[in-house]
Amino acid sequence: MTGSDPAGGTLLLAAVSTRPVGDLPEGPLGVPKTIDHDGLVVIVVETDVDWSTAPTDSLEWLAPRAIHFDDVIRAGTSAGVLPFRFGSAFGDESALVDHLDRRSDAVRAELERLSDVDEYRVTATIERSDPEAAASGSDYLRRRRSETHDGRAMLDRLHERLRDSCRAVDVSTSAEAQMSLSILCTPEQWSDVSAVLARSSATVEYEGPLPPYHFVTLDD
Amino acid sequence: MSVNDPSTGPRRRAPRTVAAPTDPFTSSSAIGAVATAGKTPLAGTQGVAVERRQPADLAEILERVLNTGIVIAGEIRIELLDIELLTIKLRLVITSLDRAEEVGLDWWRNDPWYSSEARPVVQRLVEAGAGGAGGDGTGRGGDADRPIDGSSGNDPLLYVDDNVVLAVGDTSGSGDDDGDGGDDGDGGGDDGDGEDRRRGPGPSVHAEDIVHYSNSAARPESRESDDVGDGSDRVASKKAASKKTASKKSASKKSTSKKKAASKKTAAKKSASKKAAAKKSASKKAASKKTASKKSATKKAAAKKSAGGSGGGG
Repeated sequence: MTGSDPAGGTLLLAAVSTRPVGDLPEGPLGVPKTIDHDGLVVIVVETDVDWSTAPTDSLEWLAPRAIHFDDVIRAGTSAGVLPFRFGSAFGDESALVDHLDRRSDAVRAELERLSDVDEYRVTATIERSDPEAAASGSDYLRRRRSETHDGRAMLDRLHERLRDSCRAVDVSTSAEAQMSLSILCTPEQWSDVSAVLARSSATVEYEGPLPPYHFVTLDD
Repeated sequence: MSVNDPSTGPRRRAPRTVAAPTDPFTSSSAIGAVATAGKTPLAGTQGVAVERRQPADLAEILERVLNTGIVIAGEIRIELLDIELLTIKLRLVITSLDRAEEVGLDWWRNDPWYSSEARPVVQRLVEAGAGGAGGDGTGRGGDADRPIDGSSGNDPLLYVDDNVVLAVGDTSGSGDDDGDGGDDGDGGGDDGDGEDRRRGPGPSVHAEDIVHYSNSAARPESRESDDVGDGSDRVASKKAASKKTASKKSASKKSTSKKKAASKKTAAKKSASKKAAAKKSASKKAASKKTASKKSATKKAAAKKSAGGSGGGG
């Protein structure tokens, strides 16, 4: 460990793992690297962003950096990482390591808890009938109400079934015709989960495996 | 069922490229590429697809990296450099206020810019003893007289939360602050974030700087009275009381003048009725005079008649 400040820059803490991670992508944020410390692999990005002058209120400026940050974390997915939130910045390595040392037990416990699971983001959408196929306006409204009622019941059933098939489910958004879920499951459980999803009459999209963004906590 | 086999499981797409795009708003690898793949019906299902979406769109990535993941030391805000504050704002752009409150973001409740009931963080810091009182659990004990000037490349980031000023900087070569009153982070702290209270060897914060920073922010005039401490609260309450008294006085004045106006009205009415009564009595008198004169004239005429009749018949 060095205590030097990286060329006037900042270290953004991206994730922590206990296993080696693969190649980390460079990007607009800067150069990612790993710091091995006491059995932990700390994934950081050395960034030379001058936060005091950066146009941080611009989405155009922020978006590529957020994507890069996500890419860096996802590069470590196979190693089982604990993702940190964007903006966890440290002046230098010693400050970062010191911070982690004080949370060492909690970090290791969380890594152990989440070592064999992945997160999937699932969006289930109810199919709507074509308005032009309706005989009349009132007929369309009746159909729509019926579809909404049946669809909600179906989404609720899907949620119930998924809960039985995986480690944890978190409903992110639940609108009239759509439900977004974060699912935490092992690779073996994913087979069951995908079967449940396939049996559903909703249109289902998913993204994953992802690091357990929605399920990680670090209580002080 | 294998998730890799399109014939038996959900369809997979090519892994997402990890290289960040140069322009996320035009690159199909980053944003808006969700709809490019079709839906693949699964055998044995009702003809409905389970589709792997790859890559995620920008909103989802922002929601992930700004709204989820481990948060260090609660909701920290880098007031001086304004970065975490901005991050929170962006979270709110892509989530709702309800969602923000669910995850513990309610800074607008405590921010005097947004809530008249809130006192500024810096004011609370000053009151909590940021001026250098050692051993108060804030970890500012020994070096509270070294200001942050932001000019040095080694200046730490300044994190400010409800009751903690955190300077994360180059900690090498300074010696430790242990034993100087709370900097070991083990005792007296209220949240166990001892390391957050450590100070680097370089700049740190003291009350004057905090107040200066506070004053440097342009605040709306209307908020000024809300942003002061207990002393001015008393002044404010006195002002309010005097306002109340003044309004009472003006109310009583108003009622007096109203009464006067009413009595004037009554007097005028009385005089008018008096005048009317006088007129009436005058007209009555005139009428009675008229009647009396008529009567006497009739009497006179009758007398004349009777006098003339007796002379002609005799």
